Amino acid sequence: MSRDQVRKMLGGYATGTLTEEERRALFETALEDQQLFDALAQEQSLRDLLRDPAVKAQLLAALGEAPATWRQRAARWMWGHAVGLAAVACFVTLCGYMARQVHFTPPRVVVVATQPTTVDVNGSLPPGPARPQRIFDLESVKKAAAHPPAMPMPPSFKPTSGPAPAFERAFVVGRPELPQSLAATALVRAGPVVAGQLGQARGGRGGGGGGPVGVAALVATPDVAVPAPVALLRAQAAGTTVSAAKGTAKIDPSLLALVQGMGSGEAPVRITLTDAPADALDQLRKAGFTIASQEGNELTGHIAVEKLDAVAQLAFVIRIAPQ
Amino acid sequence: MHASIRNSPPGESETGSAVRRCYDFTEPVEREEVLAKLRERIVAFAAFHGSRDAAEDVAQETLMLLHEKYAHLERPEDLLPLSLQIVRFKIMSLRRKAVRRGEYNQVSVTDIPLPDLDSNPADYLERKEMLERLTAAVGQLGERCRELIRLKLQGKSFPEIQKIMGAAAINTIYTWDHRCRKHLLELMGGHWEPGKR
Repeated sequence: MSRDQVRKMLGGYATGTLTEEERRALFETALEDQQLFDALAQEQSLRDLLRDPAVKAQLLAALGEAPATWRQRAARWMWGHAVGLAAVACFVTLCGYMARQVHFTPPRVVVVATQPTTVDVNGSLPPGPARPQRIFDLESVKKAAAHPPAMPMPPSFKPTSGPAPAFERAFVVGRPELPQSLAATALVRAGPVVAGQLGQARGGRGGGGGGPVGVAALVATPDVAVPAPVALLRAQAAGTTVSAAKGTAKIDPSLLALVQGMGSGEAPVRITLTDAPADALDQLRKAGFTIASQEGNELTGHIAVEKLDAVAQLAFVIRIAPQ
Repeated sequence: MHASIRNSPPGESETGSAVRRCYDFTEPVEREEVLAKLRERIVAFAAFHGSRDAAEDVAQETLMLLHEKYAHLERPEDLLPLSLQIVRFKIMSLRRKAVRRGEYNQVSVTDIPLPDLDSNPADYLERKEMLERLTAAVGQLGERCRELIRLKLQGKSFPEIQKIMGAAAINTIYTWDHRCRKHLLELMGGHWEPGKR
């Protein structure tokens, strides 16, 4: 072994790592080399320290903690900072949310629904609280099935040579084929005389209410007290009095509905005149109309329901409408 | 006393005298040579750390101890480590005596603490401080040096370390250990013991 090689064994002296051959070579060289001897003398303190087993164990424990590589250190740094950044992000988000709640609360808009606008499509909407709940009662259904109510017989039309004479007999000649319980049906529409239109509606159009005229159906039974206009309408439907039908045509349908709802009493009306004679007002007063005001050819006032027919018969009266 | 066997000269009989010639008791001569060289090295080393007279005293006391208590040791690999340890203790003792005598700083005799013969707190503190410095310095070494020192502390020899670390030659391990020791010594300030500058 060369002297330089022996010098490199110096590190094994303190830890007792040297073999017998290495020890002999090292010490024999140290006897000849003062620098190596001095180095060995300086190593003696470390050697004495490392002879203690406790010291060796402590150093081994310190060496057991392997130093982290740059990847491990980078991973630790990343994780440590990631946790910190996540905490900061959560804190900032929470603060922002709280600040928004405090400073940017939008004004409350109170929407008052005046009318429900729900649309029931095929009964998809649940029943509302106001709608009475229908409870299916099996017993009542059985009783109803055992004693079915008497249903009115449908109108039967005798076969005639043509549809027009049969239609005219049914509606003009006092409904001989209609059953007594069946209510009369009248077709009323402002415009020309209903009876005349009914007469024009040959081929059964009048029953369906089609054509150029609108339809308003009034149903009344014979034992119910019917106001005069309604009776007049029934007469119009029967075709017995053509003149009366002419007067009823002047009455506005809304007034007819109002009169039907009132039954009796006085109704506020507005009468439109044309080509009124000098004694038109007197004739109106005689017919039962109480004049409240006059503006041009329109008179406003009130009239008893029973006398509405008489006013409508006046020739200069062209329209009677509610006020 | 051990005797070294030497080859007998050719032509001599194998009688008792011949045996006496074969077992040539040359140990004292070799031991004297080893001790002489040791004295020379010890004086030089101790003189570097103190005065020349103190160095002579350290060397003389060390050789006397080797001669009186360790007369059975004759090989250099036995005598030299022992002499190094004795020298270290002698030098430390001289320093403490110098401090007590006030050679470095004069103090009142009443301020000098009495020595505790049962324990030595100074040695304990010195060892503790040295261990702390060594632990901190070891932690700053590279992975190879740490592994090398770990194996050395586990009692592995250099050939075993060579196999474990997969080095091609034993000289590679020597070189690695030399560099690691040098780096470790630099990390500790150039001295193993604390307070030495």
